[in-house]
Amino acid sequence: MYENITNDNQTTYEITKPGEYVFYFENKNGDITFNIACENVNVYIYGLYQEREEDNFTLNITQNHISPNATSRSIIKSVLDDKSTLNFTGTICIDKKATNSIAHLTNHNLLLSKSARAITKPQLEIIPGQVECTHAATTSPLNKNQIYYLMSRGISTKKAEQLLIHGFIAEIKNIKKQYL
Amino acid sequence: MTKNTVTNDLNFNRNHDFAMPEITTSKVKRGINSKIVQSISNYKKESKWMQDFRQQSYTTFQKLPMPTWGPNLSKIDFNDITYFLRATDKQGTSWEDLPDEIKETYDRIGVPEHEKEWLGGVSAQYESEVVYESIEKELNDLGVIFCDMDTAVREHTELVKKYFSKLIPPTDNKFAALNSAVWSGGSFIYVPKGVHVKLPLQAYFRINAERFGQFERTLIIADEGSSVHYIEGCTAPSYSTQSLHAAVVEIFVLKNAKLRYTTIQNWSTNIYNLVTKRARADESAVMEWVDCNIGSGVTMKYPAVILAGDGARGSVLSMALAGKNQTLDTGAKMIHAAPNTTSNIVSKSISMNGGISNYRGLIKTTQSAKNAKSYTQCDAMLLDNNSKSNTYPTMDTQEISATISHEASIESIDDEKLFYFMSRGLTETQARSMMVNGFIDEITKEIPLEYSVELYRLINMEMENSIG
Repeated sequence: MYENITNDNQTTYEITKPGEYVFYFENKNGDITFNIACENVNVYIYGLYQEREEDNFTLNITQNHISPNATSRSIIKSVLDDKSTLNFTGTICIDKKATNSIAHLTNHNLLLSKSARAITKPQLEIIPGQVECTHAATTSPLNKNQIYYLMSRGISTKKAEQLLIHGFIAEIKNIKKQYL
Repeated sequence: MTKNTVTNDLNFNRNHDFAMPEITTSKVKRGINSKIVQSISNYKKESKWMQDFRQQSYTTFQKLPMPTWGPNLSKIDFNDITYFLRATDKQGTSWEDLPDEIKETYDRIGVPEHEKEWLGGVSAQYESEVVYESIEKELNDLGVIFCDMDTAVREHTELVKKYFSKLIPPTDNKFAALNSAVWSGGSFIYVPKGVHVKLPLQAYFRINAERFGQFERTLIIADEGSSVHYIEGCTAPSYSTQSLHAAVVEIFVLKNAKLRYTTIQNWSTNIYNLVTKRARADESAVMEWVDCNIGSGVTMKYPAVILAGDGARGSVLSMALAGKNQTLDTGAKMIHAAPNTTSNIVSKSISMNGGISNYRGLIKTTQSAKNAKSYTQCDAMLLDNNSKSNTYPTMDTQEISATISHEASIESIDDEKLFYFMSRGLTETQARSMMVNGFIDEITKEIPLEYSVELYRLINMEMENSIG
């Protein structure tokens, strides 16, 4: 099941039937909680932020595992230009009963401007044993070597930057295409 | 095979589970007020600036709120703590001069053996003041100052004044303010320009009086181009009443200097260990914290490095082993405030028998931190279904050229791996200990040999007790 939740006002998603769920959103503010209350569930959460000027987004995601044997993965990517800010908190909560849970949380931020700012708080709250949980977060500028490589192939600086940004967000953009 | 069952009421530091009778000669009244703070100054015959500093800190302490986050500290009763006591009136100059009870306590921890082996200087803290101190001639010849903080305030006043509380002012947090008001003991180290201290400097800390909080204050200055390794290790006897340990450690690593600060913390589980540790690294300086937390009931400790000079490097290696009734809230803070600064954090935590281990960290990159790089890795291991592990990192990046990355993982002991080990003829306990020891190997290989051996034994002991 694919759902674009960008314009949803809903803050809690209850997952009560087995199956695969894909949630997608762009530039979304607010708290979103995914309650995984069913076994044999795969939940994918994709978020994309392309911010410029004085954009300021705050996102709090909670992957709440209540039932055992479920998987959740979230990938949040942001490209921050001008004076924009992304304030991201991602929490993985694994309940005592939710053994054999697999949960991953990834956040990658690309800073394009001196005044852009990324604040990221990936959190894990785990009680039971027999789980596999990871989170990872990075914040970095465009890779100079990669730009240089593209330029050595006759591509202008600007175009090279655009290509790299395009590549950075493609992982998320393609998900959307895949399901439409 | 019964798995994940808790059979024993654990307290693994049984070999240190003893208490010597108090031999206090002077002890201020229990509780805290400005008179008590003044009486500490009087006992120590302190000069005016320190007296004023203590009084101002006490005022700050009263104003500051308790931390609103982290573990539950509501059981601390500040009026039920004795803030100062003196083990012996005069400091012992040699081992033979020490009172028998103190010697006996140390013998059981093994201080003299350690000393014979390779100690550069021992400054052992029994109760709240340093009673035993042996500084090798070598250190004196090099011009290295290694003494307790009270002596430093008296004899190296100008040096102390220049750095004291400059990194951690009393206004920093409630416990830093408390420490500033009632501090006693702790180490002072000054390493002159270009001097490399080859042997690690060590200090043993002890708490032995019931309802007595220890508030040591440590200040280390590594002058330009010098290097030093300081080790503090603690073991404490068990008591049933709550006790508080609120230390402040300030470290200045000047240009091109290198400093490593190793802590092996093994307080008994009735102790609140709330420590503020901060270092400033100047141009091309290297600051390394190695932090092993095994004991205490509640620990809140986040060693910080302020990377203030171009090319400064900061590193934190942190290990926590949270057992029954323990909450170990540890982590690291890196403030990148200068260009080309790098930092590296490795945190390994193990939770067992219902213990809670938290990682709480902050990586802040200011706009002046061009090309800053930071990497954080925090791994947690859960050994049973009752234990808990949390990770709360914060990364605040305001600089475009900074590369900041963070990784965390939580795992439990894999049945398949366990099966593999056991098919090779190991018992389940052996297999589990082996995996746990392998998990923290990155940290243990960085600490001195006798400590890593001790740690290895402690973990094996723990594992034996945790499997029914």
